[in-house]
Amino acid sequence: MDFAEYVKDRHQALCRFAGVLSGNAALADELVADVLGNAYERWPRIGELENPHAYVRKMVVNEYLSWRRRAARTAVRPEMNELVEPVADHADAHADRQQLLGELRLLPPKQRAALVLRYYEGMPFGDIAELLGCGENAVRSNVSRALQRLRVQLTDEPADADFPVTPIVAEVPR
Amino acid sequence: MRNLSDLDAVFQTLEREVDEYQAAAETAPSAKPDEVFPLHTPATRVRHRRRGVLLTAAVIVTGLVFGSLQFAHVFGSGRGQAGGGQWVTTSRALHFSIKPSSDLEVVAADGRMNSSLGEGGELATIGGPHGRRYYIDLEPARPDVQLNFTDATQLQVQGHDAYYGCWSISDASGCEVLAWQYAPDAWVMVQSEGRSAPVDELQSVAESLDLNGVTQLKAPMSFAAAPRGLRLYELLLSYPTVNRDWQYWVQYTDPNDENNGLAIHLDPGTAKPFPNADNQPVTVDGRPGYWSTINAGTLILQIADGVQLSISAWENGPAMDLAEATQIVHSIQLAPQMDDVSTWFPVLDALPD
Repeated sequence: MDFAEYVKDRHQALCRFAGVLSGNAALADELVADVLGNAYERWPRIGELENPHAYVRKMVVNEYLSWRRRAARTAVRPEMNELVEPVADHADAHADRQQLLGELRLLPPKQRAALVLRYYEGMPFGDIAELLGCGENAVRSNVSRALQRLRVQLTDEPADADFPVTPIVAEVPR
Repeated sequence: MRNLSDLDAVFQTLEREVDEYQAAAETAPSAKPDEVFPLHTPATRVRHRRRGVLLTAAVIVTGLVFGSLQFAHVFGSGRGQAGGGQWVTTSRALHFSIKPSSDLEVVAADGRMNSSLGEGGELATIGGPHGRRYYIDLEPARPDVQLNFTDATQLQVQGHDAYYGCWSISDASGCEVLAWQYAPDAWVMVQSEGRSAPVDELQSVAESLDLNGVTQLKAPMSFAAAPRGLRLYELLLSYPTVNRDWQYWVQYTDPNDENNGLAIHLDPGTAKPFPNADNQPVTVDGRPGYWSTINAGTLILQIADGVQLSISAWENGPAMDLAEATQIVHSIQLAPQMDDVSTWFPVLDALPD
């Protein structure tokens, strides 16, 4: 697959993935542009891989985690005001979704990445572990903690005998 | 308690946000450089890309996405040699300024970022009429690197042989680049940001550079003295976009202590408290703001009408208290108007050794 073909096929999917991962459309746009720039420079090698998209997706995750590290240093991001203020009305489904969105954006980056890869990309834990460069147990732990923080119960979790069955009941303090 | 369908709905919301952002970006007009600046809210946007090393790819990607470029020539027909057979070697870095007769201006520079050939280059972004922006890439001493131009057009820039086309080294390449050897082992590359530029346009930009000069960085604020006596680490003047106004930020760090640093951010808006932090309302020189201990100390201040300033100490470094933050605020000079150059400063003062 050549680079042009790849971008044509996957650009939008990458942007969406980066948007879900980062919670910020503008940042997603920058992440993908930077990653594609890097990918282009290495495309003679990436294009020969069995699954170039998996590699580029990994680059997006790495770039995102790298960005988060830098952002943690540089602190103030005014738009965060709009992202994190919770909506109080729990009786309203839309309000709760907005609150969930805000809480998702507050997750630690690795927890968030693990969660998104698991439930947005639908990746097996082993693949996520490989992508994130950590052990499978660490991925399971990150996913589990993320779900706890978001108070998401796995009532409709797809069949996965390996997934922890520990009931999620407690909200982890921030 | 929520379930996974709630999570999926949130993912879909984020997808929609991305789609809307992309759609808005495609239809928005460009901004002229001066519209970035100084203290008003612009209504237009262009994209800003700071990473010059990615320029060529960004051009290509943007072109592909918006259907305006062809890819056929990207990798060329194999590696050739410039002007019919010249291998060149890069070496030392340069500094430059813009000739007074030019309508170009420097809007960003970064001496520590990846240049086209790798770590350690200098790279400046200059803005011109009609929102056009260009990267000026000054290559450092890299005697181990040999530039190889593929199917390049040879021309003259400032009396020197120059090449327009695609260059490559062992693990990197770029196209639509005008490069010339300014002095023995010293190379300059000129590229357009975000679009394909004809060779005569790049040649005009190249001719406007004074390679014996000192670059002035366009900045909406300056300091009487470097905060904490630190060294400039990063500077960015970002053009307005559909979803974001202009912003200016600088980071300072101690070359001997990577944890010691300050991030200073200026952008349009009203000072808001840092989210989920222990904000205390404060007043500095009659200006309202908030102080919090987030990171290693953060001051957010309404420094001018419609402009907010934030000063934040890096979270793992020495703490900044309100007195120190106030002292930094006192040393700040804001640009009074659009064409004022009093806050611009020489790139030689800004770039790391």
